[in-house]
Amino acid sequence: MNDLNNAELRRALRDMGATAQSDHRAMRTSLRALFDSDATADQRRAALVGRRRFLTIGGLSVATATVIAACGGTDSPGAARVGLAPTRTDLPDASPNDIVYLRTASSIEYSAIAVYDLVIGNTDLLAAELQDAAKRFRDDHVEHATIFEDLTKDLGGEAWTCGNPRIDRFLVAPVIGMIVGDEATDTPPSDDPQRDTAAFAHALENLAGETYQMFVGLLSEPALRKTTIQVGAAEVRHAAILAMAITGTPEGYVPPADAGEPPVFPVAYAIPSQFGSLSGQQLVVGAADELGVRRPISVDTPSNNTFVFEYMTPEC
Amino acid sequence: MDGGLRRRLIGAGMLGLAGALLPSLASQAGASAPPDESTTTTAPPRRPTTDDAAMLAFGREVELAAVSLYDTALRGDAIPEELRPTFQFIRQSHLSYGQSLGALLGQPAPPAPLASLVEEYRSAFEVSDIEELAAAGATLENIAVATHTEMLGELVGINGATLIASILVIESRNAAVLTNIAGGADLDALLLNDAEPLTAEKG
Repeated sequence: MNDLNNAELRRALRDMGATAQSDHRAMRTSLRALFDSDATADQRRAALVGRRRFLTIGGLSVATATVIAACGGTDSPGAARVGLAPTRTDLPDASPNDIVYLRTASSIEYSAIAVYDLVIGNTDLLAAELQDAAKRFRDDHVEHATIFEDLTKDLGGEAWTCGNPRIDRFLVAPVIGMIVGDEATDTPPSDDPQRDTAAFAHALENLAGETYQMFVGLLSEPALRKTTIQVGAAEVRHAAILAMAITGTPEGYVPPADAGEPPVFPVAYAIPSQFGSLSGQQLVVGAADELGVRRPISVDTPSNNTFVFEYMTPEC
Repeated sequence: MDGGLRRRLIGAGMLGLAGALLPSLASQAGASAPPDESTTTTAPPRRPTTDDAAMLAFGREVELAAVSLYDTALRGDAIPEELRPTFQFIRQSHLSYGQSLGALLGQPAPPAPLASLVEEYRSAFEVSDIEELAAAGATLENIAVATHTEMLGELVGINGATLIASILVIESRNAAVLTNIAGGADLDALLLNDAEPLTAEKG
């Protein structure tokens, strides 16, 4: 309900206009008295020090200062606004460093462990012939996580003992949902859960290997790079073993010289390229949509939004 | 109006203006102050140092030795037709590694392969049994992985370290594949690498 009726609103606007016109006239008179060459010294002094003129000039100074100050920097929590809005919370001041990379490394290990824990012993999800390998890979990831936790603590950081928050939220959860089905998102279960679980494990092992290869260029100390790539070299062997199981041998050893049209399901190769790539990979899982289309998921190496910064606290 | 009075009044106006602006300017000055100095670190150099260059040159000799050994294998009759693309791919990769290391070092003339490595493994690459050949290849790849891993613990320059890392992870995959071809189905055989690294002194 309006507090002012239309007549009152019109009166208020008219009064505001009258005040503005009056202020404008007063300022024009003062400026003319100051700068008009015909004015006498007494007239100039009166223009400035007369009570009304003085207040006019003083008001002008304060108004000008206010405008300039408003254009400058401010510590206030946000721009001027009308209505209610949540108070802005600044992001913590953080930059990636060795501790962040090592915490990110252990987070990736825990994300992989969680996926293997989900499928080990469940032959509906992971084929029986891959169960032993999965158990071995899971144990390797536990060992690798411990390595990165110890290195984190050695550098004075707090070890990260949970999965990677972003990878868990934006990769693991959706992919698992696409494999087993997710009523909340109306996602049907996969038409071949074993195929998709093996492909997902292969993608996770590649992701870990690529991440540690990338960290070699980011870590500041050679000793840290060495330990990290030792783990990376083990992860890519996991990926190679899975690729040979998924694609078969010898087809799954190396890509053919003439690959032709890319298939719907990316082919897993044990040796996918001549140099270790950091460009990520495509993963296709889940049932086809009503048009028969399967959407690929990009599994990219971590960036700043995936790093586990020191201000982050585990929630597992 | 005399000039002195006008100057004093203008001065008073400027003082008021400055007073009104002071909080704003102070906050901006605070924002431009340098961050906590304890967070600054010294970034490692990108280009190889002198010591790096010696290590990378040695790594190049190891790669060229691998090329020589795979050439020996490809000239022989051990490799069945369906596996030739795999051996050719691995051989070509090692050549690419040698060329990339040479480019990084700026050495135009190709050096000789590491003679001691070629001599030690030549007979193993001349066999006519594919499983024996693949086992020798897996051993060679594991040696290369161990050598490059050790090197990464000493390389200072980032460019050399990242190149070696990108080589090492593929050689690790090579080892798994060649172990598989050699008939190794055991996970330990596929995953573990107990090879001793080569050094320039040990050759």
